[in-house]
Formats: sequence, structure tokens, C-alpha cells
Amino acid sequence: MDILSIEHLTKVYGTGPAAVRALDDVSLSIAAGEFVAIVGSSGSGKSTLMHLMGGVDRPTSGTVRMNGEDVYKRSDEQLAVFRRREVGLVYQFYNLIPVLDVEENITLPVRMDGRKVNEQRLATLVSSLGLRGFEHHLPNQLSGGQQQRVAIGRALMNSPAIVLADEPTGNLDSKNSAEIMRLLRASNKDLHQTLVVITHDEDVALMAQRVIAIEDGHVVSDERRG
Amino acid sequence: MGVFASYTLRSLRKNRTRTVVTVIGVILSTALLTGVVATATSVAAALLGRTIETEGSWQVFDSLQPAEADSALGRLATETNVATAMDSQVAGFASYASDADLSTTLLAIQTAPRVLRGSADQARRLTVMPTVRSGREPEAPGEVMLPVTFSGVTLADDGSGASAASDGPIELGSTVTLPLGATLVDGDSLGTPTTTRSFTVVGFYVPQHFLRNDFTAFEEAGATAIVSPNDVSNPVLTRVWVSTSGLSTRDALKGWAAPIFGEEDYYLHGQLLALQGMASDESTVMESLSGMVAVIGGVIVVAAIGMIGNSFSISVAERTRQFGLLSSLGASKRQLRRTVLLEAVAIGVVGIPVGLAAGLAGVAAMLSSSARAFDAMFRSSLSGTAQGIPLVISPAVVAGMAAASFLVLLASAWAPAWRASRVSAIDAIRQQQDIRLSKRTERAIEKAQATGKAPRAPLLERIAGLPGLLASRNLSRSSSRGRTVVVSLALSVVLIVLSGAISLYMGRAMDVGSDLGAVGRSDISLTIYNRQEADQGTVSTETLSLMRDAQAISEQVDDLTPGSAIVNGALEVTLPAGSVSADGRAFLADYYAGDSGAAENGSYAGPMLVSFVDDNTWAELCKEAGAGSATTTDGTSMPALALNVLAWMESNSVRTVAPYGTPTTATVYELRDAQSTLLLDSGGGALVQTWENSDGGASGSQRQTSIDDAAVDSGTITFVGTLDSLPDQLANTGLTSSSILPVIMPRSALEARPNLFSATSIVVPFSLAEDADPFDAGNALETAANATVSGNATAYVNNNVAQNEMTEAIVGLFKLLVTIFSVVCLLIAVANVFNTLSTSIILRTREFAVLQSVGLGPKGFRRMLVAECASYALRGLGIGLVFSVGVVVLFWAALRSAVGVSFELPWGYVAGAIAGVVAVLGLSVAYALRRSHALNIVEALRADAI
Repeated sequence: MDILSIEHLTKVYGTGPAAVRALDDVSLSIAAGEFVAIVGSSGSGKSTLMHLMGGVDRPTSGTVRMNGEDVYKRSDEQLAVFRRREVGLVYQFYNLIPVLDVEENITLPVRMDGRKVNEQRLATLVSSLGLRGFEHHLPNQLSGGQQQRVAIGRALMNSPAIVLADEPTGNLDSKNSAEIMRLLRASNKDLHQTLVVITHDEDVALMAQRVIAIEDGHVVSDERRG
Repeated sequence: MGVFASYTLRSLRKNRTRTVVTVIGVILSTALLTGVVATATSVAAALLGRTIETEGSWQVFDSLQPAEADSALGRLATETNVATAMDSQVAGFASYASDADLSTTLLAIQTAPRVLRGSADQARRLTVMPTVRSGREPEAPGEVMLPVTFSGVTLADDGSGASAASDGPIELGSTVTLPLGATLVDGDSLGTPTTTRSFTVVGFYVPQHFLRNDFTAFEEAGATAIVSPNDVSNPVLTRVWVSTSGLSTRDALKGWAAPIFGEEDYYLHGQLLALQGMASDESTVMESLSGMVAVIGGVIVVAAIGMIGNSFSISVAERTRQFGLLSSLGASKRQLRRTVLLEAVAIGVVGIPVGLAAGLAGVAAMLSSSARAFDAMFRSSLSGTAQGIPLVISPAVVAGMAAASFLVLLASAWAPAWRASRVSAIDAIRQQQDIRLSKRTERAIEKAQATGKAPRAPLLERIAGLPGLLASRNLSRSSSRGRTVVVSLALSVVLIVLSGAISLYMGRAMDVGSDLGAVGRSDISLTIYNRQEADQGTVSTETLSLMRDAQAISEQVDDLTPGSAIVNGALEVTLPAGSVSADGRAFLADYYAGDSGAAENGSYAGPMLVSFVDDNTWAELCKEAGAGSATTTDGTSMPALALNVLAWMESNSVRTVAPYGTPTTATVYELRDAQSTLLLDSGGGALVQTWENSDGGASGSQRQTSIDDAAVDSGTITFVGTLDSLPDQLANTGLTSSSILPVIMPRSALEARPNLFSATSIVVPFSLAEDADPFDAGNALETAANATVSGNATAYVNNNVAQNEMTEAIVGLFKLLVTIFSVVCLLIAVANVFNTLSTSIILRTREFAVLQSVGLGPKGFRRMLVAECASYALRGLGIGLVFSVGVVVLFWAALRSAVGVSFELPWGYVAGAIAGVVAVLGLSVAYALRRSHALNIVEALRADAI
């Protein structure tokens, strides 16, 4: 079953002669439980695609449907609710809130929703991310790998419909990169977490079940593997 | 233009809002600083002008002994530092006894001014010259000018050996004989004269106040005869007035004066020197003026450094990564520092000249709009068209202000510039900014790390949920900037409430002033005093005859309508038992330290005050008092109304007492010695106490005799009624504000028996025509009065309207200054708050984008910003209000000693301050939200966004 379907998605930045067509009539769909890698060179439009999938940006034209519902028909407030419940975002540069400690960063989407934190889930998540003992550290007291693990925790905490990771290992050494990918894969395998990873790292792409290649705003290939 | 200069200008242009706000801040602080200094220099110039006008422009004065005179005068004639010098030779001192009992009995004889240096006009302005009432100044040898009090007086030889004498009552053209060469031995007893000479009286002058440093003032003598210059061959003293040039400190002046006049053996004009910038340590006027300037200037400088510094540290913080990048590209620390300082220079080039101009224009506007208030404070004469004081500031001071403002600006930018130069290349490359939380939050987090338990939820989180937590942590991150905001807000609140308190209490103080007698007072009143020294009958008759003068004066001023004239005087009476109430006895005992003149049984012996009214007024007052048919008098039994109210002034309050019991009759006595008074002996009988002077009034002895021995004449007064409050007709007399029992009588009583009363003054109330100018009318009345009265009579105009107007003008000016000050401080606070908040938004762009991308909706975002602002607002308001109450209490306590007002907070202004703070923060939140609304999450999230 398709959890996410994109139809004729176009995104143009700027106007007039300076306009840049970052995405041009892209259509694709992602099934529940899939692990998809989106690859492409710098400026190909892959980050734009990710932001449009995550309800962060608004498309120039076309639709993004999550569970059959048009994401961009929502108001800003509803879109915010959509982002916190249905999407988990992981960035290359972690993007943690520097004034909040590890636990607060991880539970941010839940608390934004005004819901009570499921302590058990939190504890499981913290220990599976190897962050036990660091619950009350501030981001700047952590290493890059640890920070990225916190970001993954934040993305997974709400059990979103889809986790979108933009170059999650781009800022890490190989040991930490492997660890981060292990965690992401584990969430996909064990929890059937739908996962989209944007990367230009061959090794990362090879872990995915499906690799979509984007060039100049167009999908140039879409391969499913074993 | 170097690459750094163009980089600086571009970043200023890019952050246009902050640049504009910072420039406005610089303009405001420069304008305020300039305004304060320009006001102070203008006021100092006005004070200097007034001091020269009322005390003369002399800097050094000395009274030279004959032995030292020649060398000193010689040096004064040649010394380069002398600007103007003038002397007057004292020919000697004389005693005088006259048929009139002039209060002091030593006459100094001195020459009219002799110019030593400078023009005659400048020389005469060194001191205050007497005004000639009639005749002219002496010009030729053998001419003399005397004080106007000598007019009509006969000086008889008193046998002292150095006595002045006249050939009859002194008038213009009379001859007076004066002893010359008599010195004062040991300061008071008179030496032997070397000769006597005859002088022709050519003029009378009005003596100035003896406390003033004017030309005719002598410490030793009560009056001065002025003879022509160079008419004295062997002076006993030479009085010298000198002003200098080229000496800029008091010590330099002292060093200059010592060899001429002798070490410390001369007088310095302290008041003038203080205003000329040569203050001694004890000088209070300049000290308080410069002290005030220093305090206010200090507040402004601190506020300005805070505000501008805040703006620069924001500018630097915003560009930390840019500086890191520049540094990684090879920019030296100095180049980075200069980038920030260049930014300050660019802002100063725009802001400081505008600020200087605005400050000077503001002061000029303030001086002209409050001209009346400045007239009241700094001018001795007033007119209908307010003149005000001119704006006085030297170009050097303006240049100094520009330099000072520039230094303030550089000082503000220095710390941020230093920080900019220390940004390392690593900071540019690292995405994560170093976060420094407040000590308290750090401790809470350390504790959480140690215990593993989550830190306690801060108050804001409990109120506003997650947005509250975010707000609370953000506040803790920028705590030093937050302090700036809170302090700015608190300061504005204090200033607003203080200016409210000033308005409130000044207004109330004026109300209290009017409660104590201004009610029912006429617009303008004229009082003519008869200063004649003679027996009671003569004085009273003369006073009654002054009624003609009053009439003549009234007719000369068109805009004033006279009411009925009142004659005021005193009398010595005995009252039978029951006349004085218990309250009255307590009151009299309080004022006369136990020697009240009133006995237990309510009898009394002593003085009373009386106002004599015309027949119509008498009839009206009798009716008011419920007295039977108004009885006028033939002098055998005189009717009177007891005025049963006196103001009892205690340390800080005033209350009224009813001093009379049931007064029936009074016996009034004319006593042989006008200075003696009645009192009761221990047995309750009346006695006369006389005071015998010796040594010119310096000491004396009391003598008590029986009434029969001392009384020359007596009469009976019958009380026909009692009035419980001061009638409007008598509002200008001040009858109830003395400490003496008051009565009201018909004028016919005085006319019938003038010798029983000591009537010494006439009061005429005037009402002002609708559209007439109170100042012009008052001045016209004064001119008419001075032209009309002569001899022993002197006239005073009491201009109640003008006085009220001036009081209001001064209070208004004070309020204006306080308002300007608080408004400007509020604006600086607004700039501060605005900069801090909008910047804290800009600095957190990325964080906001992340928060939004993980699902923080617009509502939550708004709530977070509101929570942050509310925290500033509440802290600022809380601290501000607490301090306001303290400041208002201090202000009230300071004022309470002068006027009894009860404590009250200016609630309107308190509400205004709260509304102002809410409005300021509301606007800032609105701006911040607008900024963040325009935020492009995607752009902000892009890693390479610098």
C-alpha cells in the first residue's frame, strides 16, 4: 500500500529570468515499510523533493498525498501538526535545539503535540540509540555521532508515517556513519518504519531496497532491488 | 574604499532596521546629552547675568588701610590682569542722632566711584550703585547725597565729638556738617575726627539691602553719605572693587591678589566666581548645577552605552560565522576589529551631527516655550512679554559634546569589536553555535546530569507548555541582553511614575499654598507703609493721610479696579476675664514661650492687630457677624468685631484656632514709649514693660512699671460681634496669619482717636480687567506707586496673578524637563527592547526553522515569543514599580518638610507606565512575528546559509 504518493510535483524558486526549476513534474509513490534512497548530484533537486515530502515547503504545482490525503490542502497550523505526527526529519547537520537537553530534544514532537511522553518508549529509544547516561546533556556537550543519534531519536519518537533523512551521514566519519545507518535500517526492519534517505554515498544507497535517481529536477531512474 | 569598508557599509545596509534603530539611539543620546549641557550652560549664563545685575561684576574687593592704599592702587593701575577697577575713598565715620529714631546711628562718608581701569560704565557695574530718588549724584567738591530716610530729618549734634549735624530738616539744598577723619576703633567705637566740613545736599538715594555687596553697604555703618570723587584728601579707608582677566582658576586669582592686597586679606566674590568656573569647594550653586549635569549625563551615557553596545554586540553575534570565515581567509584581528569600529564611525557620522542639532534645537524650543518660568527664576524685573533666557553654548562645548558622543559610541562598540576579532575560523566551520546558558539553568542541567532526573519545569513551561520551556531556555541563553531590556523597561517605568509624582505633588503643593490664604485674595494688591518714626498719633494721622496717595495711584492704572482700602495697625490693650479661650491661651503660650499675656481666667494684656475698614464694609461685616445696628463712633466708646481665627503653624501642618472666649470690652492705651508693651504680672494685673536700649541696640535692660505711670491716654473698645473666618474684604491683610489677636474696627474710630493706635500701612486690593496683562498692570501700578509716594512712605505691589502664573510656569517647566527626560529614556528603552527582541529572532532563524520543520505550528511559535516578551515585561514592570514606589516615597519625604501633603501614588501614570511597557513589547512581538513569518524554512535550513 502506498503511504506517500507524489503527482506532477513542480517547484520553482524565484521568478522571471532568475527562476530556477528545482523539481519538474515529478511523480512517484512510496509504499509503507519501504527503505528508499534518493540519489543525485548537488543541485539535482533531491533536497527540495525531501522538503516537499515532509510538508516543510509548499510546491509550485502538483500534489503530495500522505495516506491518500493531500498534504498541502492543509493550513499552516494543520501542516505543523502533520509534520510533528506523520514525518520524522533527520538532517546532515543534526539541527538540534541547542537550549534543550537530549531527552527534551527527543521528546520535542510529542510535547509539541501536547501529549504525554511515553516514558517506556523513550527509555527504549534512548538505550537503543546508545544515549543512556546522556539524557540531560546539551547538544554542544555531545559528539557529532551522538548528536545525529539524538536527531534520529527525535525523528522516531512519534512513530511517524515516514522518516526523511537528508544526508544523515554526510557530516560523520565512517565508523559513526555505519552506526547511524545501522540504527536507521534497524528501525526499518524491526519496526517497519518507512524510510527515505537522501544521499550521494554509494554505500548508503546500496543498503536501500529501492534507489531513485534525480537529475535536474527529473526522476531519471527508479530501481527496486532484491 | 577598502574591502572591509565596503563590507561594513553593506552589512549596515543589509540590516536596515537595526541600523536605523541604532542611528536613532545615537541621535537620542547625543541630543539628550547636548540638551542637558546646553541647558546647564544657558542657566549658568543667566545666573551669571543675574548675579552681575544684582551683586555687581567685582571679583575681588578690599578695604585698604591708608598705609597700604598707595602701593595697591599703583599696582592696580598697571597690572595686566586687571580688566576693570574702581575705588571709593572713605573720609570717615560720623554718629548721628536725630529727632526721628533712625535705627542705626553710624554714618559712613565715602566718595562716589573713581574709575581706576576700564570705562566709567564698566567700573560702575562692578558693584550695585544706589538709585537716585531725587536730586542728583554729587559732582563738585562740597556736595553730598544722603539716603532717602534722611529726607525731612533734622540732625542735631549729639555731643559724641564726631557727630553729623544739619541746619534744620534736611531737604535738597540744605547744608549738613560732617566730621572727617574719624575712624572706628575696635570696629565699633568712634575715634576723633581731624576736621569738620560743610556739604550741600544735592540728592537722595534709595539704599540697597545691607546684606548685598552694593556700593553703599558697610558692615560697620547703617547709612552712607556719598560725596563727589576726589573730594577726600586723607581717606581713613579706600574701598576697591576689581575684576580681572586672564586668570582662570580660583588659586590663580588668589595668587594674583595676595601680593597686592596681602595674603587672604581681601574678599572674593564667591557666587560670581563659582558661576565663572572658579568655584571653591564650598560653592553650592555651581556644585549642584554641575552635579545635576553629571548625574543626568552619567545616566544618559550609561543608557547610551548599554543601548548602542547592545546593538553592536547583536550585529557581531549575527555575523560570528562571517567573521570566522573572514578570519579563515586571512583577515587579521585588527582588520576584524576595525570592521566593527568602522561601523560605529559610519553610524556616528550620521547620528552625532543630527543629535547635536536636535539637542540644541530642543533646548532653544524649551527655553522659548518656558520663557516665563525662566523669567521668574533669573530676572529681577518682569514684563508682560516674557523674555526668557537665551541659549548660551560655546562652539568649544559643542565640539566637546560631539567628541564625547563619539567616544561613547566607540566605547559602546569596543567590546563587541574585540569579540569579533576573537572569532576563530573553527566557529565559522562548525554549525553549532556555542550556547551559554545562565548560571542557574546551567546548575539545573548539571544537577539533572548528576541525578539522571529531568530538570524541574520552569515557571513559563508550567504556564505555557513546551513554548514556555523554549522561551524560558532562550531567556536564560541571552540573559545579559535580557537584563538590558529589563533594566531599560524598569528605568522607563520609574521615570514615568516619577514624572507623574512630580506633577501630582507640585499641583497639590500649589493647592495647599492657596488654602492658606490665597482664597479670596484680590488679583493685585498695593500696600503703602508709613515708616515714619514719631509718636503714635502723628504716625496714625500721617498714615490716614496716605489714603490720598492710594487714591491717586489707583486712578493712574486703567486696567485695575480698586476695592475699598484697609488701614492696618496695632494697639496695646487689656481684656477682662473670659475674653481669651483655652485654645487661645495654648496658642499664645506656644508662640511666646509661656509669656503669653493671657491668664487662666481668660484675661489678657498685650498687643492686638487691627484692620480699619470704611463705613460700608463695616456695615457689611456687622451684618455678617449678626451684630446689631452698626455703630459708628465718636471716640468715647469704639465698636469692634473680634476676628476669632488664627493660623497655628506647626512643623509640617497648619490648623486654625479660635483664640477668643467671650470678648466684651477692651481698654486701649497709648504708652509713652512706643517700644514698650503691656503684659500681665503674676497676680493677673496689667503692667507695662519697657526695653531700654544701650550700645545701639546690641544690649539693653527691661523695666516694668505700672500702667498709670506709662500710659499717656486710654479709651474703651466694645466688642459688638465675632467673625469666625477671615472675610473676603480683608483677604489681603494677612490679619489671621500672625500670632497676635486680630480685631476689625471702623475707620472712624481711628480718625477720632488716632493716638490710641499705631496705624502703619494701607492695603488696597485691585481686581484686574478681563483681558489685561497681569504683568503689565502690576508694573504700571508699581511705577505709579513709586512716582506718587514720597518721604517716609514706601509702596509694595503684591501681584498674586503674576505670582501664580510664575509658580505655574516654573512647575510647568519642571514637568516639561522631567517629561522630556523620561520620554527620551523611554525611547532609548524602546530601541533597546526592539533591537534585542528582533535580533534574538534573527539569531535563531535556523532554530526556528528546525522547530517548524519538526512541527511547531504558528500558534505555538506565537506563544513562545509572547512568553519571552511577557517575561521581560513582567520583570521590567515588577522591578520598575518597586523602585518607582521607593523613588516616589523619597520625593514625597523631601517635599513633606516643605508642604504637608499626604502620600499618594500617581495612579494614572502607573497605569500609563504599565500600558507603555505592554505597548512596547506588543509592538516588538508584532515585529518579530512579522519577521519570522517571512522566514523561509527551507532557506534557513540550508546548511551553507551564512
